Amino acid sequence: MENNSNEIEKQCGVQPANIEIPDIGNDPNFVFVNDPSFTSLNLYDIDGNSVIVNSWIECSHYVKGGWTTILNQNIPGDKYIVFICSSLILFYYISKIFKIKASQ
Amino acid sequence: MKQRNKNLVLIVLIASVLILPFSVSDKDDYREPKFVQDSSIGYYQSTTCGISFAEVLSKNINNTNNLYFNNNAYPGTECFGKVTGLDKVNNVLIVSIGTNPSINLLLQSVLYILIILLIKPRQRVSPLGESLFIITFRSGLLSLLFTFQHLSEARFYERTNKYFLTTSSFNNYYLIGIFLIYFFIFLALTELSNSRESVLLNYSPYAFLFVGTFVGTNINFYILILCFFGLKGLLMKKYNSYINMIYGFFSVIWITFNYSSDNFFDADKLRGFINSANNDASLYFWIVTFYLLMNGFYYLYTICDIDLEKIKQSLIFSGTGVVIFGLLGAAYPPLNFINFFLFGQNKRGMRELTSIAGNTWRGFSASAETIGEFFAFIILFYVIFYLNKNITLTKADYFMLPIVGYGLFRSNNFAAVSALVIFTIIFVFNTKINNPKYRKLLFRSMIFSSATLAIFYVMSFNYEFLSTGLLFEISLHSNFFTNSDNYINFLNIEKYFNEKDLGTLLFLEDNFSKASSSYLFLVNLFTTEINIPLIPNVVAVISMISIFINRTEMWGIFFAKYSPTIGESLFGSGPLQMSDYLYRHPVRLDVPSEKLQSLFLPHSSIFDILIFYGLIGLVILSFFTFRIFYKSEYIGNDAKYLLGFLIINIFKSDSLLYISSIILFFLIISIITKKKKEYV
Repeated sequence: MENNSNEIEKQCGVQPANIEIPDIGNDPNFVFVNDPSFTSLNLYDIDGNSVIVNSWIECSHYVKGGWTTILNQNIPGDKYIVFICSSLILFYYISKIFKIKASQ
Repeated sequence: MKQRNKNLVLIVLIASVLILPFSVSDKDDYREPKFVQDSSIGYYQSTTCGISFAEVLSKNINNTNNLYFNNNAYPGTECFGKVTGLDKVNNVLIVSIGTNPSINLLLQSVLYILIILLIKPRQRVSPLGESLFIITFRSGLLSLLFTFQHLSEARFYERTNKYFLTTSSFNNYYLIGIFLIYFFIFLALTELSNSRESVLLNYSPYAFLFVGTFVGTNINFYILILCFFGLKGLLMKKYNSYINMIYGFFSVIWITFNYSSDNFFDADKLRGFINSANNDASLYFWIVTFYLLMNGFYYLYTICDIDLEKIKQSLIFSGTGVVIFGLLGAAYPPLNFINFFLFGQNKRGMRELTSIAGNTWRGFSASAETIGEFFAFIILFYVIFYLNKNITLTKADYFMLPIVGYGLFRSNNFAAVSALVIFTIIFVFNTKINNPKYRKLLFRSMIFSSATLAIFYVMSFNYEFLSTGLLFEISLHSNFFTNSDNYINFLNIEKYFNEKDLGTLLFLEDNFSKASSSYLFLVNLFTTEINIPLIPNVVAVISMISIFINRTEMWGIFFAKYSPTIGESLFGSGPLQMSDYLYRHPVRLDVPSEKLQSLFLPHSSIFDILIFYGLIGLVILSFFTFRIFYKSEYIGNDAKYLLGFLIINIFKSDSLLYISSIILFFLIISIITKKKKEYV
């Protein structure tokens, strides 16, 4: 529980005083009330979906559900692999050509 | 640079390739590792791909919770070596670590290439070596072949790699990346093989320690090496025309009569050396791959310098390594994960040391039989070549041999132990007793006592049970009498067996059409009217053997499933093509419900050969094997005991389904058939 609170604090900031956390559960009709004193935040889930939260309560609710302020960008890993391998192969050919020239 | 210093540099490089990818993470983000426990599940589930494996370990050195580090192949490269989730299942906290297959292919190859570089070069190679054109042509061709596997076995790869894409375009970075990785591997193999290829075979027993299967793929490093040498041999015209012609003939038949289907085999413990699909493209891939693999063996055979001391070292280090790393992996979950990656295991290593989980050295070997055979083989190798003064015993050997003995003990392989004892006795009688009179007497008394024991054993059962045990077992696993209660089916089948009325059994409830073709063939053989006095029926003999060696159930399942056409029974389904055998013929296994989804392999390499190469293939392979035994010009006679030992064992194990066992076979054949002057 403490770890969870720390996590929420890291993402959403310190819990404002006099705020009571309502029991939201899985209520689909629950409406979060905007808090003008809260700076809106963008939160992202693992698939890169984003949501803007406008209150500390809303933010804490999403963080509990696994959302974070860090966008887990879909890195084009397959392109990196192509780049790394091309470099290795190029290095091989250059060194091979140098070897051949040196031996001649 | 001196070899010693070179090795030091290589070891540092190997450690770096192993450690760095699992340690890299953004240290500036606020995502810190936490102690793995129930309360941190939410944290790790929401903080994915940010905390490295090494970071988690640093926070959990003293963690006494039941941890398991799972390899999660599907996530992308950004998650490689990092935590992709934490779950709790049955009181086990499962930490998933990202292991993208494309990166695995590259990293594991680099690791194995660096390890091969530890082998001292033997030949002096001209700096010019082969022409760049030849190197490029060979590497390109092989890379195309292995990239093609990703298309032919698409169902396997789409499950394991996030980037998987089959479109034919220059934007398909997945396929281009795979091609380039293979291209780099073959270029590297070219460089290191030139100066080491003649001694590689002496190190081949390491295939039991470094299993070589790439995580998340259905390919094995040894296949790449052997195909590389295969193509090299073909281009240099070092091949055996007879073998290639026979194989070509078989290939035409496999391709012509192939029945494509949607059957998919997830490869399970055979991953890396099995056809996961059953389509034309996958058949072409494995036909060509196996062709190159055979030629690779042949090429290595023609150039190898056999060194028994080096082989001894490789055997003992490999055997000891399997035991020690197996135990360490069972005791320490992080090492279990590292073992899987470093050694390229087909399946994760054993997680506990209880008699069931701990007896198979699972991971290093997919089956208890295979690893038991290997441990026993090492001991027999020592016995034979030490007694004949071909090898010496060092202090390290005295230390490591008991470890291998412990491995054999824990593998629970009674057959391997028995075969070890029998072959040791035969060897000692044959070579150490010079008086032929005494030798004959000892052999006769041995045969007499064995025969007496066998007769007493047979007498303890009734002949009825022994001769029909296998057919009864096949009937139980066939789809007969489809009552929902297996016990009622059992009683029905038992009734007709007691009445010796197999005809009615097959006639009722359409059982005839539900029976496999191999079952019907066995029933025909068993009920034939031709009866030669004193010669037992062949089905009865197979049945007796299956009961003696405790294979009735497994062979029963095999014959219940094995339903080939006439063509398949003669020529097989093609190399490593098993999905038809596994899924084509419907059966109803009479096994506990929790085992219904298990993989039931034939449990005899003879049956494996039947599935792949048919009866004619089996006869041809047997002919070549017996030729090795009986051709007098061969000098490595002592190694024939080892070959005999392996052959006896494969009757009751699936060892030939594993590349490491095939390599061991090939090594022994090379030792036997190489002329003495070719020994180092």
